[in-house]
Amino acid sequence: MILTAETTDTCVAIEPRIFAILEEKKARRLTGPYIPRSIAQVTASLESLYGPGSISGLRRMAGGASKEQFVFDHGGERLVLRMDPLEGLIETCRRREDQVLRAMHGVVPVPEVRHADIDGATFGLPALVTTFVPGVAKPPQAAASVSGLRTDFDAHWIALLAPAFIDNLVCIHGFDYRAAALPDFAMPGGDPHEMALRQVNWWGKVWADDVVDAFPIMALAECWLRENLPACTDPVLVHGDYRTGNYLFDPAGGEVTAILDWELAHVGDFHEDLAWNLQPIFANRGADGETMTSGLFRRDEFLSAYENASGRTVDPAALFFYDVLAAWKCAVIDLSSCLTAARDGNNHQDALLSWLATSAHVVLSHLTALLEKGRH
Amino acid sequence: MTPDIDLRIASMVRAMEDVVRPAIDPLNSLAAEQAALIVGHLRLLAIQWSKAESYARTCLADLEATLEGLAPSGGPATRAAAADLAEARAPGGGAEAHYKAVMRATDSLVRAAARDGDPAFREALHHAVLAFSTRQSLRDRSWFAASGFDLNPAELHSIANLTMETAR
Repeated sequence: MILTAETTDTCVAIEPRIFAILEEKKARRLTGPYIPRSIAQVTASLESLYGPGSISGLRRMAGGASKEQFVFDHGGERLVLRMDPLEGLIETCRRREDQVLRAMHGVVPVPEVRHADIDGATFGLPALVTTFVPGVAKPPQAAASVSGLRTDFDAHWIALLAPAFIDNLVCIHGFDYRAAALPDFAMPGGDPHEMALRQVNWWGKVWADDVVDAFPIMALAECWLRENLPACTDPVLVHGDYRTGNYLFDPAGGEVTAILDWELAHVGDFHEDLAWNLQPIFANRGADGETMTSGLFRRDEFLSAYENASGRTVDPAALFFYDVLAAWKCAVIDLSSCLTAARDGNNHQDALLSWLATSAHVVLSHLTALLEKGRH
Repeated sequence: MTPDIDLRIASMVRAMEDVVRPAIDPLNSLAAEQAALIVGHLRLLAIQWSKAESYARTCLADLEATLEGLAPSGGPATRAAAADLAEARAPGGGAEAHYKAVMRATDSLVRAAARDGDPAFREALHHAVLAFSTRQSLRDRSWFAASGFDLNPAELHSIANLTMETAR
């Protein structure tokens, strides 16, 4: 089999809003370096929004490789402020995040949006204010790396969290997105290959715009993806980053309290969320040494649990395509935007970004093995 | 050269661990995480810095060997990319910069061959790139093993062994 395809010189079949924000970033990055917002600056911005003396308990939160995050109290509520730095691990749209969070309210547990500063009129750069949802991203005393990677769940926690992990994913994929207010989300057109092509074009543009050092395997992967686009006859709302680390749960009872990080959500193929969660970089070793996807499932258990709960049938060829796409997308993020933000000093967590980038070679190893398999 | 780089990195790690990290407000989780990352970066640098030039030479030598024997053929895009690759491969500069330049030119050749490369050449190029990436990704995983992201650390080489002799 010969891998051939055109590379992404143009932006056909890319979501218009995604194209717009990627273009805006190219201009915005030139205004750096980024200076992290001080508590005094954030207080002033919040008071301009809510009134003098109307907020209390403001403090920074950890995590958030692409956003500055603060927690504060206002009007009897604890709230979270998520603000864009000049550049982040990924470039996403607060307007889309606002829309999808409002749409998913009551479908799966999500924070409620209280204020969306789409153009940065209040905070200088785009931001969202949401309710604070109590919960933890890892069991108390459990080991975990940054961004929820390598979270260590024992059998007790697996039994509590794995069913909810599947149920929430099935709810997301079963959501009637066509009836929702998602004006900045491109809906399916007539071409069944469009769902896959949009993703290749999105991340191909990110790579073309932000590449730091070239890797020939990345070119090969992009060629393979363009040559092997699967048809999607059943588009769903795809979360885009559904994995351990991106949900919160009650540390006492294990109930999932919030699904987080919706900024990569889009309409697409359900295999995309499955393949993303199956990436080795998001896995951990179980007690018996087996690979546990998101720390919760063996691969076959995860897929069969999803099939049983959703009524959908996993197509091995489509899953393979999205496995390649997910690995390539991870590498695009780790080796382009992640590094340009750190290089340019345009983020508040440059040290975290340059640390995360070292994980890219685990991803490239997986990507190479997949492409080798795809030749035969 | 005195005090040497190892000593200075070790001093910084100790200062971070013994003085800075304990002094961070426990409620300032961002600062605590940043301090931990600084220590992680310093420890990784301590392992890598003295081997960086040798490691780059190893990677470059393998890439050069991979490209030996490939005979680019195809239309104007492939021929132009092949000429650029030949220029990039000409000796000169430090090993890391040279390696990155050859990687960049090889990447461009893959993209050009997708446009107008002859099928037999594309097949040979893809085979070579996959074989190289298999070896290089294992090397790079080994180079960054201390960051702790790898699920299969038993597969990795020690940095001390990532030399010219173990490249192929």
